[in-house]
Amino acid sequence: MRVAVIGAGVIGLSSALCIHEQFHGLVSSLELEIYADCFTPHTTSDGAAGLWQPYLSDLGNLQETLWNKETFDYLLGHLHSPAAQEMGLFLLSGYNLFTEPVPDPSWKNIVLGFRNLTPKELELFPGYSYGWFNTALMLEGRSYLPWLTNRLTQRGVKFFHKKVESFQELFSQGVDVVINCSGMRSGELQPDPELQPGRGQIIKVLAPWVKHFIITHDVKSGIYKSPYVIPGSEFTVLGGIYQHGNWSEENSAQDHKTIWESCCRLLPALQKAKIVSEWSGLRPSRPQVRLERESIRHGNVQGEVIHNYGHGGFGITIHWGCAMAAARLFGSILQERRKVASSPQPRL
Amino acid sequence: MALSSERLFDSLGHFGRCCGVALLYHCLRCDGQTGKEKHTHSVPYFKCTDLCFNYVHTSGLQYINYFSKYGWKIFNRCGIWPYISLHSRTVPNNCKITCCWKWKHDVPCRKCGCSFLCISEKRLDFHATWQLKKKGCACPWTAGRLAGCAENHTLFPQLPVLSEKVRFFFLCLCILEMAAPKVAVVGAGVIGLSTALCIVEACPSCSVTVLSDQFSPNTTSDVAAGMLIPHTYPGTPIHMQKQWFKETFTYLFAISNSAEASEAGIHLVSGWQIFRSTPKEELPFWSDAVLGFRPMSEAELQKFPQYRFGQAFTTLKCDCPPYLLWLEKRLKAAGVQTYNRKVSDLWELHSEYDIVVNCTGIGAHQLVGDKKLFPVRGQVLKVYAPWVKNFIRDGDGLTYIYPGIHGVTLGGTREKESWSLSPNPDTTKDIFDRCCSLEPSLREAQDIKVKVGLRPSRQSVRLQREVLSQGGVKLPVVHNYGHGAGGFSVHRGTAKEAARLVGECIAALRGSSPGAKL
Repeated sequence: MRVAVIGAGVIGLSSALCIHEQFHGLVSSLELEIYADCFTPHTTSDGAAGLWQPYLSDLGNLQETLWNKETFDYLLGHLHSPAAQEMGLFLLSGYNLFTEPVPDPSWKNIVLGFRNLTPKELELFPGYSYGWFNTALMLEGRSYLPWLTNRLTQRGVKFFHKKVESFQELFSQGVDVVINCSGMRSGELQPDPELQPGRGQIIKVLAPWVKHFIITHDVKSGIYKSPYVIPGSEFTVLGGIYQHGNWSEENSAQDHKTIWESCCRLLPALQKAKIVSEWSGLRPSRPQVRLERESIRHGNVQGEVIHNYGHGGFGITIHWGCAMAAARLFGSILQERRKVASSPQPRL
Repeated sequence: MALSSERLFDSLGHFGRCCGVALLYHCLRCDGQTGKEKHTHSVPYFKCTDLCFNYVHTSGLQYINYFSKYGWKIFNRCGIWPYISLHSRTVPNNCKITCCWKWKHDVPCRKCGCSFLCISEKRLDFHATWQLKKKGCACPWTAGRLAGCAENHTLFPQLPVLSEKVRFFFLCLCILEMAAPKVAVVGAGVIGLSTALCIVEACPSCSVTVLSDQFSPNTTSDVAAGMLIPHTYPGTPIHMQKQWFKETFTYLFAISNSAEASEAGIHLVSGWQIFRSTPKEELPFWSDAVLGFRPMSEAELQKFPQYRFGQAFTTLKCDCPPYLLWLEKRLKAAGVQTYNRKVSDLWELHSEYDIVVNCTGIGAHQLVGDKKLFPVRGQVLKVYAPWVKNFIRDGDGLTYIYPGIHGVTLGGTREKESWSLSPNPDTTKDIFDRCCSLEPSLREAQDIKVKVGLRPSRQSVRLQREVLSQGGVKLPVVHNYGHGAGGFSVHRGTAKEAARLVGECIAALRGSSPGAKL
């Protein structure tokens, strides 16, 4: 059974690992391959700060909330393992700030120690009158992706640096199942008008005195349009840009100014921080994650595709839950194939 | 001889006023400073007849009423000195008189018309030589004598002959550069430096010097993590400890939220204090001074399976050396000098300084022979583990993980009465293992450095005045040491209190009789 994963970001690699971990023992000749034109450190996942935090509202997508929880619990379980530091996994506490009271988020019981901010804490952030404090997890892409790659390589998974032009291309080579984790560019494999870029820009600085994440919200403007500061293990990420429909991956001077000024206003100590680099990326945004099976037939070629894309700005937050769901879908494909194989039905 | 100043002025009028520079002359008061009348001693005050001076320089002499005492407001480089009372021969080492360009003028003797001319060049001290100019009367006037010429004509002929105990000085000037009280702070750890800073803030005219045989990075403070988690002193009232902590927290909180935060090494950090069994006191006295204090949730405690109870909160951390270096920088900007000098006995400072502040920490054991002060040896590791962003502290105070700007401090030990400053390798391994059991990812920590410090421990912080005296000479001392494990947590509060005590010493010096130092 040949399985090809398209995409080597956090979704592609984790889906591959999850499937391999679960089915390697069950399927006699499981061959897993990863195809991508982009590998770490050049994927969208590498640009993300890596903070586990879903959007403020799940918009009724209970499924996604569940996947978020599964991811958090999975990562929390790994926190004390020897691999944690290599994975880029660590606990991080911090603040979510608002200009007005807001309802508690769907994830308040998933994170640790969720509570409202006290008046004295709010004094730190003039202009914000309400907020949350909680302890969440950081999973840094620049460590996690290499770690996943190592685990996969150890398991004998093959990597191909190649741009896949169509699902058919893979099927015609003999691939049985394709896991489509192509993120932003899924539209090139199969048009999807719901998939739109949510352009973001970040400034990476050296500010080792920052020990908390600080995410401000402007409920009217929308997510990530308000400054945020997220300290990583080496650098601190400053951001606050979300431009829907903007495909540019060039750094914009105007956005730089917006980020820098608003973050320095939020944390005056940042004025002395040294700027290390700047990056722009496209969040693969979709009203909801596309995680489903699809049978593709083209002439004589038939294959199963499991789509797993459209994770917007919460890819790291949701990745393992989605990987497990993708693995379940893969399991159901296997189940069907076995039935077909064992039953005396003529081949189609 | 009680002469009222007003009568004196009435009789003398604008005597000696010339070129817009008013002549300063004395008047007698009955020991005005304490309000007690003494007939044998009189303390002369110098008063100015003319309240409006026409000085070229912006600083000058202004006659003011300061706390019901009259005198000059003297401007000098450091600030203001509310008033001066001049005593004969008691201020030679302190007072210098600087003339402005206008000072040269003739002061005529009322009686014989001779005029007095000050012939010294730029700087005069009280022992200035005055020379008579006219009429061949050229008797030099030396200090200590009554202001008068050889003919014994005094400038103030109306004044009666006074007893020899009273000296008069004759000032004709402009800008009096008055050295303010000289304060020596011994010790350059967090207590010494912050106390020196509080003194200059409270008393800008004071001349403050820091003396120490150790500076950052070799002080006890440099070993400490600098976490603002108070230590309880059994001998100090809780309300006072709480006030000291709150003052310190407020002060540092403001800096952490400013552009100076990174240079000063001050930052917020959140974390957990955990207990194997529920402590007697679930709410420590400082729980409302830190941010967001609350008990840990079950889910949070799961991270520490051997612990039953915990407190989560956010507090501040002062990284050293950055904080000490930042204090030194602010001190220099305020004109405070620092000198590397071993002080073996506080008394050795009495000739150079007016007040001594003892912030010698564990050094006080030797320096002032305080047997109530004892070392509590602490060994710590400083490691590179930048992914550790939260602090973890075992409520027993022995095991802790404190993430700083450039490294994480892992601790520790509390060895009473141990004076050894050498790292113990077995202890290093023990500390590392204990911390890794709380935070397993520390196994990957790099660049492990070992440090040892001796906490200057005492039942209570010694924060009080004392006056040392030998052979009639007094030396006021303010003690500020014995902060043990809680130095950083209360440093600013105790520094402010020490500065206040220094202020009391200054007031006492001013209020003292002739013979005492200013």
